[in-house]
This record gives sequence, structure tokens and C-alpha cells, in this order.
Amino acid sequence: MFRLTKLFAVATAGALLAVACGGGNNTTTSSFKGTKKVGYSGALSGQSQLYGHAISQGLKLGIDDINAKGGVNGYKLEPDIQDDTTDVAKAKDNTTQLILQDNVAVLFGPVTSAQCAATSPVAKQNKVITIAATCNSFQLTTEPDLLNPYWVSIVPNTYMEGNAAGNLVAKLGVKKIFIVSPKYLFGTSETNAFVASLKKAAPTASFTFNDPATWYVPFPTNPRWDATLTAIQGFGPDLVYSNIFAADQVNFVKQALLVNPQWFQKYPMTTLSSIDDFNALGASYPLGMHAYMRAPFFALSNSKMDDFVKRYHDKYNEYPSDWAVMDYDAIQVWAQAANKAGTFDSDKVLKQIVGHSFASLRGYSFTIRPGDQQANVGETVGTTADSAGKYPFPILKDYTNLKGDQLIMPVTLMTELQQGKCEKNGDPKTTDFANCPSWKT
Amino acid sequence: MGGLSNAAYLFIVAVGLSLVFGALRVINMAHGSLYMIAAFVTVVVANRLGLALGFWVGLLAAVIVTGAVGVLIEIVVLRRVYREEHLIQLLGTYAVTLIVAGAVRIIFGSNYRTMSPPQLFSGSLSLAGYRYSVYSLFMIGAAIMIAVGVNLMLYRTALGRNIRAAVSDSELLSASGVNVARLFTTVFAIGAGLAALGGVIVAPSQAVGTSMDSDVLVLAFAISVIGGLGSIIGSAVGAVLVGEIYSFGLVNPYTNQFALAFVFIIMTAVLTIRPWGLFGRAEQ
Amino acid sequence: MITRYLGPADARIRWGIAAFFILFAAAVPPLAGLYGQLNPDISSRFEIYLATSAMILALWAISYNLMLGYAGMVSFAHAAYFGIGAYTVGLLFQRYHLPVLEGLLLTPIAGALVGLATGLVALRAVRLYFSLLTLAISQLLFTIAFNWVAVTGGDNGVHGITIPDQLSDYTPLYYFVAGVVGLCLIVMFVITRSPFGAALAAIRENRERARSIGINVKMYELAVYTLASTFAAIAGGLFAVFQQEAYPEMLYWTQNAQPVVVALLGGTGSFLGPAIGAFIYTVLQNTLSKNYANQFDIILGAIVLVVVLIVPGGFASLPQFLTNLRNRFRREEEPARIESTGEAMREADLARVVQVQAVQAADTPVERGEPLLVIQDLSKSFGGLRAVQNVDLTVHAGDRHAIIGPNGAGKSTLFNLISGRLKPDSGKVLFGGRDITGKPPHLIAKAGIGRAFQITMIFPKLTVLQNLQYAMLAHRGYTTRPFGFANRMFRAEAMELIEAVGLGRYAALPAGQLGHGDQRAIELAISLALGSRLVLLDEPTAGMSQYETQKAMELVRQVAAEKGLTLLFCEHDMEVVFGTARTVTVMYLGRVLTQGTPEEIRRNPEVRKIYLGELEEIA
Repeated sequence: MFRLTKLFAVATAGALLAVACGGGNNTTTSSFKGTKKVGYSGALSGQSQLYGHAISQGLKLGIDDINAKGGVNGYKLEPDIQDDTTDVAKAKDNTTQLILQDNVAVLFGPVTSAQCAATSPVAKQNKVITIAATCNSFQLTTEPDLLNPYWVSIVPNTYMEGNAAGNLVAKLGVKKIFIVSPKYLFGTSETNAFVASLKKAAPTASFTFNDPATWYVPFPTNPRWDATLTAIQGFGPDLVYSNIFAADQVNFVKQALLVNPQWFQKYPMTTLSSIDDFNALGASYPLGMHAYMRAPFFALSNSKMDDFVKRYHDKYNEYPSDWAVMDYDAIQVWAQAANKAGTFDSDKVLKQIVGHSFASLRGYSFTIRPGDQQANVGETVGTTADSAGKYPFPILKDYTNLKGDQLIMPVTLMTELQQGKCEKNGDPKTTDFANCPSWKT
Repeated sequence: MGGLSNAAYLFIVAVGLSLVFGALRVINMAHGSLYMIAAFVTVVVANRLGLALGFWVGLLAAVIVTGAVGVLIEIVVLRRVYREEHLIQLLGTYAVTLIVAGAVRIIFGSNYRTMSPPQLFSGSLSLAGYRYSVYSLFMIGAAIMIAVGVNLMLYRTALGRNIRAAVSDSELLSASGVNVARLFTTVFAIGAGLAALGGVIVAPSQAVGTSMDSDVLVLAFAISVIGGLGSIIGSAVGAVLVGEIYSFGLVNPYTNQFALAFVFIIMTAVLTIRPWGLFGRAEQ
Repeated sequence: MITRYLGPADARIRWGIAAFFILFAAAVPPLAGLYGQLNPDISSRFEIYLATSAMILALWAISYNLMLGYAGMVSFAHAAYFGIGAYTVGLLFQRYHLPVLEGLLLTPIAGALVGLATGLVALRAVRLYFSLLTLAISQLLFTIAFNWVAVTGGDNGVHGITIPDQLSDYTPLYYFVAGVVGLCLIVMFVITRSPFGAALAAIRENRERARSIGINVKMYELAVYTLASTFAAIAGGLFAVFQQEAYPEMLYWTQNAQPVVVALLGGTGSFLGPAIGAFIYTVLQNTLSKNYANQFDIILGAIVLVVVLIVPGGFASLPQFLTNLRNRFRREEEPARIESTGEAMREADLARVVQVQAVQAADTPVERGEPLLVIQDLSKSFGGLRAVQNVDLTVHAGDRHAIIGPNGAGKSTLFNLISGRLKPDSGKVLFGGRDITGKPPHLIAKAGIGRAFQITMIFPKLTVLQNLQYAMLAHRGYTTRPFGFANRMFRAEAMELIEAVGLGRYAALPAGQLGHGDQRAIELAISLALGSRLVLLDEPTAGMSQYETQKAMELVRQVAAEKGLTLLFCEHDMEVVFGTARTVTVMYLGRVLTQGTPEEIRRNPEVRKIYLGELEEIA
């Protein structure tokens, strides 16, 4: 008992010390006027930890590059990254802390759409710009409840991705499609966009789907996919469409391959994927998968990208995932705009972002249009193939880098959504672009 | 079938929880953490040693490491709280889950890890027009073997006799000269070992990550409660029930959204009508 | 969970802390402003934001502690009611454009309704099973919130809740939240100190005893469960106003860790403990998760573990803990302590006990000498064992009736059947002409049957005085009152009785700290204080010395004679039996063997056979 008491005393003292030392570590280098923090609340643990991890690394590298070129408005940038454990409440708390306590100059969007929806109002209330490069439900920039003039999206949103997938699948000539999607805002948003654009792209074809009530896998996700795998066999589809991601995708693929090493030849699959998903499965990632990806570095090769990949690999001993690439772009967008504006004032910086074009690592420039403040970024579609030892994971062959302009939501549709014209009987829960007057015609 | 392999790993995890509760009267919140530790140890060892031996050595290493952690938890935490109110027990083991979660993240990193199943079980076979993985069958087989093994241990060995005596009255047992403290440590170590087997068995078929602990815990609770805390057969029936409901619910249009709700409705119904579970024994 | 008796000095400290808290709460915004002035880099708004969130957390945790600290109930569903409060505000705003403040007014109703409905289910089980049942209910509610997109908005939750302009800045919002929280705390404080709160404390300390003093345990648990969910829903409503959204994760079962850990850190045994815990937790979480993000859960886990293992009373018990620690080092300076010798009976003043007002038999329309308790053909089996078989027994008003018999004769079972602790398989129990067969213990206690148990059944962490006060409150039907100070009611009456039975010196000590004999004296005093017409005494003098036994029985006899009580007791000590009883019933193997005056029993050859030579000695 006595020893334990002593232990307790030490523990308490330690905790107090930890609290006391928490305060200030203002390391101002002489060549800068001062430091400015840039904030990111991301999933460093939990379901989406894979992505949060890559994003932090992309951001840090971007910040290093900017600081090497003299920082922003003479200030050195300092990353302020907080783990939100893929939890909504924690993301919100973190964001508030980043804004109110740390006075961050800009925020980068968290991983999941629910987290983005939750954190957007705080950022809006305090007029802090958020550059979203991961969460991508189009509702975040079009739903009247969520509209935030300080929100900028440089990731292809679910409309664009669904559109890309729909156009891809329309060309495959398949008839029977089995859909697997997570029951989150992201999943429903992207799946709806996929189905709508598939029907639009192939108006004469008649598709058979599994019952729409079984498209979504409810939360909390069970790591076992046996039942779904059996259901797919029973349905016998020409194609499986999925936008499950992270741990879910890894589990699905692993278990499918155990059921049948030729699973993905027998049931071809169109799926959202990323370098992170490739990485997690490595060489066992199935080949011949129709993947659509946001920013796979090997398909977007150009001198800037190649240099980035090399430096990223040198620094972290990993290849940059799509998220790392996009968040590197995100910090560049903000830094360029802030430098041009000559201030950190959000309204003035925003004026330098909206309507302007930015060079991307992705080898093209994208423009952030007014309205939904969405960048016309592209999507890469292709088929997974062996990288022949070049990387510890597969690459895409026969890929196409779809142009953002082909995918982006038409302005009329966007405006109708933002004005609340796409609800059935005025019920905000039924908002769907398929209900919009301009989509129907 | 899909439901059964689901049930298999859930049973292995739940039976440990149930056994520990039966003898020690403690709800071990850290049970999921032990399961997670085992999965990580298996993956790390297996990936280092390669396909042929990896899984089996990993299994051994996981059971030993997890068992040791279990013994540590029992001696440092549980032993002091057996006589306390169950809030104190819950919180004590909850604190362990926090510590383990942090330690696992620091030691193993936050990336997912994956491994292949041993070659023996990596094939697949056809049954009534559907293909199933041999590994799923192996999981089911392992669960059955564990159920039989635990039953033999309980009903055919001196240790089992003492455990069963502890389930009915540990004070009486203590009066009869058995070292109850050591018995409890042993039971907890066995419980930890079962959690470990659960972790080992899922490792080759899914991503091993840091949120495995809480994912499995609530289902394990549901299963052991439905079957009856302390009952082996109960855990088996509970696991099959939960596994099947979940699998059926998932792919059936009418039940998809609320598959999990059914599990909790059953759990509520069982606790309301027979709080001691389908196969448990009523407490005085 | 430690209810420590607080003397006048302690009470002053406690009120001082409370006053400090109120002042501190009021001063948060100006202090934060000052801090902001001194550190231009830091925005004072964040400190105010944190304080607001700590306030809401405090309300949530204190509402949890109504169940946990005051009634000993561990629920896994408290986060669900918090979430329901937030959804009430959010959905009413989104669907019906109801202003948030009006929505907030409806949160207690929503919380109470859902709390009552789910509580009715949850309370079908007790203790651990109750906890597990709340886990199931909580996950059910979460699944509904997450998956029923058409109603709740699914995983997206409810966004875009607009609050009045006057509240849109952090400072006025803080004061608004602090005001609502303060109001709720006052209401909860009054409730916990009321006779209703006293009944909860009694339940927490000893369910069985609580029943036997006339408390309907289930009803009180349901009441406090509903009350707790009501205040949790208000806290959740405040959260929706504060954060302007509601999402399903709020209902997830793991969220319950927050109020529990907060209550534990602060101290579940004190009213404001969880509020202190909320502030500690908020500061700790903010500082640690920022600077030690990767180690945060390890540190939090270690803190919880240390508190659980070493200071289970939490922050509120720290002064006590430190005092104990100091005393360990300075043994010689240990303050003089009152040691209970377990011999209070020696000092009992029989003449005074008889005078005590509180001890008064309830009115029943049964004249002295008429049958008061009639047992007809009563049977009870446990599995194959027939503990009580076809027993017929009549106890007359004003009698002193003993039941004797060797171990296993069925005496205790019979008592349990009479007092309602067990339900008979067949047969009838009539009391004062009313059929009380199979009625629950609290109703039987209310009907006028008091009881002292064979094993000591007192409220160990309550003071001796409270033990008596609460028994009087419960039995006289005051415990439904959610207002008034329980500790000030029946104080004089209880004190009078305590002094009369020789326990005066120990009035302020937790009853559990007294010696065995003294606890028996409390047990006896409780059963006398209930004002019952019939008092069941199950081996009342077990564990007392011979002198104490004599004195205790003398006391019982005199009280019974003076106050018109009827006694039914069982006892192993034949001297006690024959010295006290006027009627003796002999039970053997679950049946009534014979009945008669002590003289008749003493001469009965069958009884002699059972007891072998034992009776000879007395004769």
C-alpha cells in the first residue's frame, strides 16, 4: 500500500509537470517575422487512421517546402495536428481548440464527411478557411444547412467520383451489378451519384441491381464479410461496385481472395481505391480491379510530382498516397493565395482563392469556381496490374486521367441544390440531386 | 454458413469473457484489448517467420504474451477490486483498455497489418454451388475444438472442478483449503488465453488495427449475456444466434438497416425475461 | 461512493467550496478576458468555450451521479439520454422550426418519457444485469439514431441549428449555460438532501433493509433513473444549443465513460464532486491531448487506475486521504477517536426507551388478545428441500411469541415468508385480518410488521443517527417527498431513541464502524422505531454477551408491554426464550411440532427428545 501511495505521488507530480510544461514553445527563427499555425484535426487512430497518417505527412512536407521559400507573408508555418480518433465529437473539439486556442490561420478538412459536416459550422462562425482534400460529399458544399463561405474543396466530390465511376461502368457493357457501400453520408452520396450517372450515361441499357435496401453496410461495420460474399455469389453479378474504404476494403478483399483466389476475375469489381489501400494489402491487392482513384502519383507523373514522390519517400520511407498528394496541394493553394493577398485575413485570402487557378502536383492547374467553391480536379480510372517490382503494390494499367471539367456538377444543378429546390415535398431529408428540376430534364 | 464463421471467432472471444465472469464475478472490459494484443503479436511474428511456420509460432507467442499480460492485469488490478462494487471493477478494467490501446499504438504503430493464413487452410471449396474459404471452416472447427476443450477442462480436471466450485461459492472453496487467489489468476489467464485464440484466428482474414478492441467487445458482451454469463454452451448458442442474425440481417433487404438492432433487442428480451441468460444459472 | 459523516467544521468547508465554485463560475469570462489581455497571442474565447463545455459535462456527470452515487446504479445508457436531449432540440428546430430555447424547455419531457419507458425495462434486472440491460438499450437507441435516416438524419446527424443572436457570442452563451446548469444543480441538490434522497441512500446501502423499512425499492430506482435521464436530456439540449448540432455518436455506449470517469475523478460521494471532476477532466484532456496526443489514453488510463485503486473517493475525498496519510507518518499525534466497544447495551436506559415517543405501535383494529397474525397451511420448498410444510400458526396481539427448533427447522424461512422476502408455494398469511400472502416486503413493512434480521442488516455507511432517521422517514411515508432536509427530520426522536439504547456517543459515526454488539443494538432500534404492531426478531441477541443479551431482552419485553407491541421471535438461547416468551412454538424439519406455554413446552417429551438434554439444564 505504501509503495503504491508513493507511485501515486510520482504519477501526480508527473501529470502536473506535464500540464505545466504544456504551455509555450514559441520557437521563432530570426529570419521570420513570427510563426503561424496551420491546423489539421485528423484520424491518426481509429477506422480511418491510414488516411490521417498520410495527410499529416503530406501537410508537413508541404509546410517544409513553403518555409524553405520564405514562408507566408514573412511568417514561418508550423503544423498543428491533432488526433481525432475518427470520432465526430473529437474532431469538433479539436477544431474549436485549433481555432480559438491556437489561432490557426487555416484548417484542413478531416477525413470523414460526418466530421467535416460537424466541424464546418465552427470554422464558419470564426471565419477560418477550411481546405477540404479528403472528405468529399457534395452535400458539404451544396446543402443549405451546411453552406459555409469559408469552405473550399480541392478533392473530387462524390458527384464527380460517382460520375467518373458511372461513366467507366457504362462502357463496360455490364448488366447485373451488385453494390456494396458503407452506410455513411459519403457512401450514400457517392452510390447515388454513381447509379444516377450510370443511368444517364447508358440511357438505353437496362441494369439489374441487388435490392437497394442491401446496398449499404450498417455501422458499426463487422470485420467479417462472409455474408456479403455469399450474397454476391448468389446474385451472380457481371460487376460489383463498391466504395468501401480503409479497413473495410482491406477485409473485403482479403476474405474474397480466401473464398476464391480468382474472385476478382469471376466477379470484376469497380471500386474506389487509393495508394493507402494498395499499401495495406501490398502484393496481395487483386489485379484486374477497375479502380477509380483521386490522385495516384504513378498515373500523374510529371517533374513536380516525381520530385515530390522522391522527397516524400526519402523522408517517410513510404510512397505518398492520394491524400498526401491532395493535402500537399491544399497547403500550397492557401499559401499562394495568402501570399498574394499579403495578409492572413480570411476574407481577403478567400478572394485570392475563389475563381483563381492553381498549379497542382497532379500535373495540371485546377480552378476553384464560385458557388460551391469546388476545384475542377480530375479522377484517375484504370485497371490494377502488377508493378513489376517497381513498387511494393500494384499500379494501374490502361488508365485515363479524367478531366475535372467533364465530371464537375453543372452550375444549374449546384444552384438548385443550394437553393433547396431538390427536396421531395419540402423535406430536407430527401435532398438528392436526382430530385432537382434540371436533372430530370 | 457465413454466419457460422462469424459466430466462430465471436464465440472464442465471448467464452473467455463468460468464463472469467462465471468464476470471478468480474466483467472484464479489457477482454477486447487482450484479443487485440494477440492479433498484433500473431501478425508481427508470422510476417517475420514467413508462411510455413509463422502462423503456428505466432499462435504460441500470442497466447504466451497475452496470457502474461492477463496475469499482470489480474495481479495488479483485479485482485484489489474483487470485493468492491462492480463500478470499481468496470472502471479498473476500463482503465486497462485505455492503457493497452495507447501502448499497442505506440509499440505497433497505427498502420493496419495483414498476414496470410497458413497454406494448409488457404484453399477454398464448393458447397451447394457456393464457394467457401477453407479458412472459414478452420475457424468453425477451431471454435468447436475450443468449446470441447474448455468443457473437458471444466468437467474432467481438478482445475475444472475448482473453477466450477468457485462459480457456485468461492468462500466455501476457500474454506476447503484451495488457494483461491491462485485459482483466480489461473482462470483469468485462461480467459486471456481464449481472447488470444480469438485474436490469433481472425488475424489472417482481416486487417489488424488499433480499433479491434472496442469493435469486438460489445458483441462479445451481447453473446455472453444472451447465452448466460458463465455458461459455455450458452456462449456457443449466443454466438451462433448473433452471427446468423448479423449475417442474415446484412444481406436481407428488410432487415439490413437494423441487423444490429435485432441483436440488442434479443439481448434486452433475454435480460428482461431471464436475466441469467438462456443457459445460465439463476443467482440468489 | 463514500458517504462520510460531515461534522459542523466539515460542513463549513463544504459550503465554502460551493461558494468558491459559484464565484469562480461567475468570474470565468472576466478572468479569461484578463488572461487574453496579458497574452495577446491567446484568445480568451477558448477558455470560455472550455468552461461552457465543462459546465455541460458537470451537469451530465452530476445527473449520472444521482443514480451512481446516491442509488448505486451503474448505467450504460446515460449517454443515450444526453443524445436524446440534443436530438430533441435539433429535430424540433430542423423539422418544425421551433426556436432552440423552446426546444430546450421540452428536453426534460423527452428525457423523462424515454427514461421512464426504458427504465421500466432496465429495472427488471438488478445490479450487474441492470448494467448490461442498459448497455443493450443504449445500443438499441444508438442503432435507431444512426440508421433511421428518415427521422434522425442518420450518421449525418442534425446540423445548422440556429441560436438567438443574443447568445451567438461565447460569453453570453456561457452565462446562459451556467444559469441553466446552476438551476438544475439547485433542483438536484434539494432532491438529494430530501427524504426521497434519503430513501435512495438507504437502497444503495442495503436493499434488503430498505425494503423492510417500507421502501418500494423498484419504484425509487425507477424514479431516480427517470430523474437522471431528465437532467441528462437537459444537458444534451444545452450541448445542442452550444454546439449547434446533434449526431448519433453521442448515444454510443462508450460515451458513458465520460460522465463516469468525471464522477469518479471528482468523487461520487459528494454532490459537487463530479463538477470538480468535470473541470479537472476538461483541463486535463485539453492540455494532455494537445501536447501528449499519442500518450493521452495511457495517461488517462493510469489516472483512472490510480483513482480506482488508491483514492476511490475521488478528488472530494482528497482532504480525508491526505489526513489519513499524515496520520500514518505521525502515529503519535493521531487524534482521539471514538472507539465503539460493541457494548452499548450496558448503558441502555430501559426506563427511557419506554418513554420514547417514536416507538409506538401502529393502530390496527385488533384488540389485545385477538389473533393478529394468522398463518394457514403455509408451505415453501427449495428444489427438493421442503423448508416449511403446512405450517399453521396464530400470533395474538400483545403476545410475546417465540419460535424454537434446531437448525434447519425452517424458522428463518418462515420469517422470510411472513415479511415478504420469500413467496410461499401455498398457504395464507393474514395480518390484522388482511391477506398479505406474497405481498412485497415494503408493503408488509408498511402494513405494520417490523423486522430485525439474524445477520446484521443496517446501512453501514450512514451514521447511526441517519439509520434511525431514515427508518422513521420511510416507515412514516415521508420518503416520497423530493424536498426538505432529510437529516433535519425526526432528528430529536431518533436521537432520543439512540441515547436511550446507549448509542448516544456514536450517533455521528458511520454505523458500519461500530462493534458487532452495537450494530445489533442499531438493528434492534430500527425494528422498534418502525412503529410496527408486530415485530419479527430473528435471533435478536446473536453475538451479544450474556449481560447484553439479558439487558436487550429486558428492553424488548418492557417496550412490548408498554407500547402494545406484539413480538414474534426465534432464538437459540433457551434462557432467553423461556425468560421472555409467553407462547412458544416448536418447529422441527419444516413443520410445527407443538405449541404451548413455556411450562408446557419444557415438559413436552417430544421436545425433550429433539433437544436431548439441553432443556434439562434450564429446568
